[in-house]
Amino acid sequence: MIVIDLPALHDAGILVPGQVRSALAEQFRHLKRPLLRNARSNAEGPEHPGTLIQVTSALPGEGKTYCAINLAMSMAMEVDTGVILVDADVIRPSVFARLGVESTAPGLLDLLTRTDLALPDALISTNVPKLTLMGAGNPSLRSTELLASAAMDRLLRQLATEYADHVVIFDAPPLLLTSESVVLASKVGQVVMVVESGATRQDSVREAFVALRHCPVVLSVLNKCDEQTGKGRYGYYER
Amino acid sequence: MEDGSNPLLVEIRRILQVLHQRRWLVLGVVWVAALISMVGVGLMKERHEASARIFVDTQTVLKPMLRDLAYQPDIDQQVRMLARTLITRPKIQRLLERPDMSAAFDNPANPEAVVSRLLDQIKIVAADRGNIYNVTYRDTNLKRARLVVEGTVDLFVSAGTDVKKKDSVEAGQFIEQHIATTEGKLVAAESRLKDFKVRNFGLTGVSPQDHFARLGVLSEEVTQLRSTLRAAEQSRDAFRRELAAEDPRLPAESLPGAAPPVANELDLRIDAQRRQLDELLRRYTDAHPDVIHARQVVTRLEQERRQAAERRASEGERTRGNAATSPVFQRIRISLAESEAQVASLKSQLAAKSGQLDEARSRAGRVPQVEAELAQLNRDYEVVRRTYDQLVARRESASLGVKLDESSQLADFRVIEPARVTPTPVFPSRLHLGLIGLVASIGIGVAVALGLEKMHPTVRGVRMLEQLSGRPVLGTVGFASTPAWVQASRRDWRRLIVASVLLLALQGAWLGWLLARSVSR
Repeated sequence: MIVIDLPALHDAGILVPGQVRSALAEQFRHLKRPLLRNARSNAEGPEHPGTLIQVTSALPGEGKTYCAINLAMSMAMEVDTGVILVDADVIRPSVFARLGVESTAPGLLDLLTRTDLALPDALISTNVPKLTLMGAGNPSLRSTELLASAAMDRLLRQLATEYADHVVIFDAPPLLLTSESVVLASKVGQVVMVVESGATRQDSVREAFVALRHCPVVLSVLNKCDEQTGKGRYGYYER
Repeated sequence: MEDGSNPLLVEIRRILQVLHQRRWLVLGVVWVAALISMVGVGLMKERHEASARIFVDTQTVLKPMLRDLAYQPDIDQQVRMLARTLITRPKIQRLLERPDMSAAFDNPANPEAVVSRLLDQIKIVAADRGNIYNVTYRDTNLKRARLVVEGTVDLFVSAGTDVKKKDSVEAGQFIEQHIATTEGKLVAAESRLKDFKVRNFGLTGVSPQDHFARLGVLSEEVTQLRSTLRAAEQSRDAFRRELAAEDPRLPAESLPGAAPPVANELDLRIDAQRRQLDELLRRYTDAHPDVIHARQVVTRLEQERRQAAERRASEGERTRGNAATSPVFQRIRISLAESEAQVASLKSQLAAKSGQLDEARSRAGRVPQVEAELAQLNRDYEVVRRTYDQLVARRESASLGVKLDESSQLADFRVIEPARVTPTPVFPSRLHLGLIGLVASIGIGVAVALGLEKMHPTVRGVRMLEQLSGRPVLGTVGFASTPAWVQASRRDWRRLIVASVLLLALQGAWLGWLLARSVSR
C-alpha cells in the first residue's frame, strides 16, 4: 500500500479523484469512454485483450506518462472497474516519480526474469480506492527480449483473465526510440497514442503510426492542445 | 475541434500559436538580426546626390548616330543613346585629370577603377519635357559629388563647341581641297577642247546639215562649171573653124596684089599629064607600067602644086604679118581669143571647184566622228564646270552657316541649373535604414519561425491528426492550470516582455541617435 499525496498531485496538475469538476477531469472523462467501451466489449479476441491499454507516443516528452496517470485516475473513479497502472517504461520509469511515491516492490521486469515471483507480488495498492500500481522493475539490457518473451505473454494473459474487471494501463516507452513499445503494442488490446500538439513533427507521428499498423485498436490523443469545442479559453481553467 | 467558420481567423490563430510556441526562437532571431542591422547601418556611409539640369539639343547631338537608323527611337532610347554618347571613357579620364578632381579623389592608385565607377554612376535622366535632362551623381562625399557633376556638365558644354568648330573647320578644308582639284580638271578640260577645235578647224562649228548642203552646193557648182566649160569650148571650136575657114586676106581683087605665074605652069603640066593618063587608061589597064608611072607623075605634080600654094599662102601671110586685112577675120579672131580666155578661166575654176569638192568629200566621212568627239568634250567640260560651281556655292553657304551658328543663340548644350548637392542624404539614409532594419529583423524572426514550421510541420489540430494517423482520435488534452504552471507561464511572459522591451529600447535609442545626426547636418 502506498500513499499518494493527492493534494500535491493536484497542485502538480494531475487529476485527482474527488476534486471539483475541472476541465481536465472533463477531458479525461471524455477520453476514457471509448477505451472503457472497448475494454468491456473485448471484441478483438484473446490475442488482444481489450482491458490491456498501452499509452505511448512517438517521441519522449509528449506527455504519455501524464496522460497515463490521468487516465488511470479518471478510470479509478469508475464504479464498476478498477485500474492497474503499470510503468512499462523500463528504460526511464517515471510513473512513481510523477506520483511522488517510491517503492521497493518488484516490478514488471522482475516478474519476467524471476520465476519465484508471482503477479500479485508486484501489484501495489494505493490510497486511491480502485487504483493499483506496478513498477517497472530492475532495468535490464534485454528488456525488449523480455517483453517479447513467452513469460510476458503469460503475464498478460494472466492480467487479462484474472483481473478481467480491471483495466490495465501500460505507460510504455516512446515508439520511435526503442522497440519495446512496439513489441508490447503487438500484445495489448488497445493503444493510446499521445501526440503533442505543435511539437512533434508530422513525419515522426506518421512513422509511429506506421509502426502500429498491425494493432487493431489505436486511438490518438492530442496533448497540449488549446482547441476547445467552445469550452474555456487558452490555458487557464477553473480550478 | 476546429471551427471551420472563418478560415482566415483560423489561419491567423494558427500563426499566433506557432509564434507563441517558438517565441524564444523568434526573439533570439530578432535580437541577432537587429544587432547585425545596427552594425551594418552604423558602418554605412551616407550618400549624397548632386544634380545639374541641362538643355541638350538631342537631335543635333544624336544626329550622327540617328543617321544610320531606319527608325526613330523613342524617348527612353534616345536618353540612353545620349548618355552613351556624352559620357564616354576618354571624357571621364579627361575629367579626372583636372587638378581639383584628382585631388578630390585622392589620386587613386587605380584610376581605371575610378573611371569605371564614374562611368557607371554618372546618370543622365530625362526631366520634364523634350530636351531637358538631369545629370546626377551620388557620392559619400558632398564636395566630390558636386565637383563631378560640375565637371561633367563643363565637359559637355566645352566638348560641344569644340566639336562644332572642328567640324566646320574640317568641312571648310575639305571643300577647299575639292575646289582646287576641280579647278585643275576644269582647266585641263578647257585646253583639251581648245586643242581639238584647233585641230579640226573648219570642221568644227559647222553642223552636218550645213556640211552636206555645202557638198551639194559644191557639186552643183562643179557640174554647172563643167557644162559652162563645155559650152565655152564649143563656141571656141566654132570660132576656130570659122577662122580657119575664113581667109584672113581679102580676095586679090580687093587687094593690090598679083597672082604668082608659077601656079599656072604647074596647072598646065598637071592637065597635060592627066590627059596623057586618060589616054593610057583607054589603051591599057591599071597594072601597065606606063599607067603607073603616069599616075605617079600626076600625084607628084599635084603635090608640088599644093606645096607651092601653101608656100604662097604662108608667104602671103608672112609678108602681111598679124595685120589681117579682113575685118570679119579680125572680128572672128577676137571672138576666138575671148572664148579661149573664157575657156581657160572656166577650166581653172572647174579645177579649183573640183579640188574643193574632193576635199569636202574626203572630209565628209570624218565630220560625224569629229562632231561626236566635240560633243563628248563639251559634255565633260560641262560636268566639271557644274561640279566646280556647286562646290563654290557650297563653300559659300558653309561659311555662311558657320557665321550664323556663331552669331545665333542656339547651342547644343546649355546649363539650366548648375550643379548642386542636397544636404540631406539620398534615400535610403541611415535613419531610414535603421527603421527598415528593425522592421526587417522582426520580419526575419517571424519568418524563421513560420519557415521552420513549414519545413518541419507539426501536428496541429485533430483533423490533421486524424488524417495523419488514419486512426480515430480520442480527443484532446489541454494545459493544466496548476499554480506552478501559471507561475512558470507568467514568468515566461515576463521574461519575454523584458527581452522585447530591451530590444525595442535599444533600437529606439539607436534610431534616435541617427535622427539627431541627420538633423544636425
